[in-house]
Amino acid sequence: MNFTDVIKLNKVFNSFEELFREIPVNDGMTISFHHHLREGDAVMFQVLKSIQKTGVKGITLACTSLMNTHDFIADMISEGTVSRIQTSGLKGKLAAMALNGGMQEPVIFRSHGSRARAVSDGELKVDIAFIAASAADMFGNANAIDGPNAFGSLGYGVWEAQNAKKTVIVTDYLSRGILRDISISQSYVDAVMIVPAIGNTAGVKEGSLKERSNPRDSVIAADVAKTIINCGIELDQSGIQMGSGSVSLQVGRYLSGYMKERDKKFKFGLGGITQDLIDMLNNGTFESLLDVQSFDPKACNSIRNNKNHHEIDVNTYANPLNRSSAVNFLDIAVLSATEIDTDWNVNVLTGSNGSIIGAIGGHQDVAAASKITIIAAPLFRNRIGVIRKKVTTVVTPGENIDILVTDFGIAVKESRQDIIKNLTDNGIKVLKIEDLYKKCISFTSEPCTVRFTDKVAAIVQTPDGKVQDYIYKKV
Amino acid sequence: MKSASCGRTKKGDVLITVSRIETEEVVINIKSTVKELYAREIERTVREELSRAGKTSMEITVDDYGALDFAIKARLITALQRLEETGDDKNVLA
Amino acid sequence: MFWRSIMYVPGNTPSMIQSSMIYGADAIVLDLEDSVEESEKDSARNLVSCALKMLDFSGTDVFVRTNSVDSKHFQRDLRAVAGTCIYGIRVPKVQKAQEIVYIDQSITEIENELSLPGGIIKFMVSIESALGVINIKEICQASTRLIGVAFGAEDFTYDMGVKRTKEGNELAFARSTLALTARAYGKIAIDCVFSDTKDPEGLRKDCEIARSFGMTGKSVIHPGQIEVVNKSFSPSDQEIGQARRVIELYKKLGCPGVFSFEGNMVDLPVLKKYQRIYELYGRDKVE
Repeated sequence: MNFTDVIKLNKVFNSFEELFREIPVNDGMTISFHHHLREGDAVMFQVLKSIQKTGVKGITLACTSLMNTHDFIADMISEGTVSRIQTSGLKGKLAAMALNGGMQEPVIFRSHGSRARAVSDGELKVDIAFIAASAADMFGNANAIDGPNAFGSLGYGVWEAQNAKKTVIVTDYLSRGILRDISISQSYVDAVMIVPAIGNTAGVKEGSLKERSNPRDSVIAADVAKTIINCGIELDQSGIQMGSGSVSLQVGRYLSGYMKERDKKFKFGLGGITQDLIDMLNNGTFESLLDVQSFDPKACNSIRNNKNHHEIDVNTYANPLNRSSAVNFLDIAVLSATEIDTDWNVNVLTGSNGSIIGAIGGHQDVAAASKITIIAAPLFRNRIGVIRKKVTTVVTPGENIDILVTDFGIAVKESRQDIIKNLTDNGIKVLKIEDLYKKCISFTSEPCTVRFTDKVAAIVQTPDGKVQDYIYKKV
Repeated sequence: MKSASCGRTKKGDVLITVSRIETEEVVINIKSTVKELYAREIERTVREELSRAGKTSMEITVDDYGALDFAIKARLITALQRLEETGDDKNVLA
Repeated sequence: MFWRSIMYVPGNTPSMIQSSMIYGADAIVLDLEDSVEESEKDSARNLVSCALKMLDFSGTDVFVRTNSVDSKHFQRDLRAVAGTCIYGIRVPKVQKAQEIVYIDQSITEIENELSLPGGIIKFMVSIESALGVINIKEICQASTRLIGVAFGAEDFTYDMGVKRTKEGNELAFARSTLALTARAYGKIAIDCVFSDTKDPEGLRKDCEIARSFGMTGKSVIHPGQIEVVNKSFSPSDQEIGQARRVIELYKKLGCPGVFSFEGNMVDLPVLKKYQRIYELYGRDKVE
């Protein structure tokens, strides 16, 4: 029996027509995709276009996130193939469409942890999960570290596969032998769909990760590092999530030097795994990395060869129903914000003019669980003040935020007298957030309030599935 | 049509063009990357400076990229000075 | 007045002016001269003037670099910034004592006109030519309002027709002369800009050379240079600790004219060195 015979016999497909005969897509179904390939994703396009051709309508698209590369979905919504969207974030045309009335139903925004919960507690019932994997074998085993378009951790995909009614692995590389490293087991997989290419891994680094060299970021990073070092947490054997982007990168470098000098190590690093974090794993600053999403295709080799670089699924990362989830062991978290208000509520999803510009990601989950949560942000961006009296959209409530580090000063929440004392004793000036707010408007002046209708464009959930806030359509 | 301008169409800056008009009024056209949030404040800054400088028959065009008040005021002052310097017979668009 | 790092800020770029005070430079210079093209001198002047009146620069001392005395802009530059929060102005390309007199008189006139406290606006000058170096003694003697001299190596090496190198041998005489003369007349001497913003080790070496001649600070052109420069022109932690111990011992012994400290003789000249360090760095820290 030769190889092509094997393919015909088993659950491997190379035509969508045949796939849909085996696993039909019906009107009104909920289908899901992950966003590990970020701006380099081509799977959603190929699958959705094929679904569109079948004439099916009313699909609920439940993605772990959506980016600019998914602009094409806007047309699919207009002509009815897709009716509902559930995601962690929106960009481009879809973000605009959510606000200008192009979508019949409100978008549901969830954090990664919230989605993990929704998928496991039944709130989100996925009919078919289409999971991009860079390598699969004929039995259905899959990973994202082998193959020409390997992208690292398959953390979001793994949990989807375990919870969806049907799971289709979409890959451009079918291994002859059984995969050596298996992230998704064949037992969860109903079909393997071969496509010419799953995407472009250069796009993994795109989208909110570009390291733009900006001197203001250096000031913020230096102060974040100082704050972490002096806040009172013993950093040796601690767990930290630093985020990604120019500030996080520089914070990592400062902390690396600090830890090395004192022969200390972080027990684990969490969050999107960048090349810098892998370097810090290799130079001993981190004992281990817990990787739910790789932000650099180079992570593949590290996952494969370094037993301390663990691929974890999103349930292990941040499911609020999972008492052992990694976020529960975090000591320090550094997160960003589009806005923060004087009650310490944080917005990371919308801009001050009401437009949807970002994603929740793991923000809510990390802030809720970490011992200390630091928001790092400039005081204002292109005149738009980051500190406000009230945020436009509450994504992460103030009770979970402890410190704000800006380029014009550091503020600590009043109720964290322990942190205030530790920082002040070490010569770090601590301000009240109200004072930083005054400083902010001394530059920008008070903004006008943008007017919204009472039509809900999107619902922002809490990690446990309640409503945190609504996003309204603009006037 | 006598006009002059100052500033740049770059982040944090503003291009302001000023011209004399026949009617006794101040017309302000604002285009801004932060229009919804700060157009009111931009207009206030422009009107205040024109009032201080005693200018009552002007058309001001603001092409703003998130400039703070000090930059808006400064670019306006310079544009007005340049307009003065052009003299009555010249047409200057800087 | 003791500035280790003095950062140039282009005077026609609003985004740079409005964040210039966050980088930890001991002083900043808002520049109306070389970073501003001729057709934009008026823009920059008004921008800097409005910035000084409307932004909060507390935490750093502010200078404005005017255009040179023989340019048509000097008087207008001075007028635009007098009476604001500036510590003083920096005047470039000064070569002769009579320019110093002219600057001093111009400032005095404006202080009177605006009813400002007499002497409140200080000035520094940049020496950027052979003639300026030769005339440094007369320059330093010409005004008490003059607080210091800065060295401009680019124009200096151009004037001399020599190549500017990282090793800086071609600058040695000028640096030494300026530092020496400034010290003799109670002025400060600020070293030239190090243009390679991506070479912190080269910057550190350049600072050491300047410091070894007796210069007490350096101009910088990028925030990334500030940390290295501040560190280079500060005494080390060891030196600060030592100064503190010397002063403590001095007080304990009842302020003797000469005493022994850790096996070394400390007489008045040596004591004064330690006192200077202690005053600037050692006082607020708790042992």
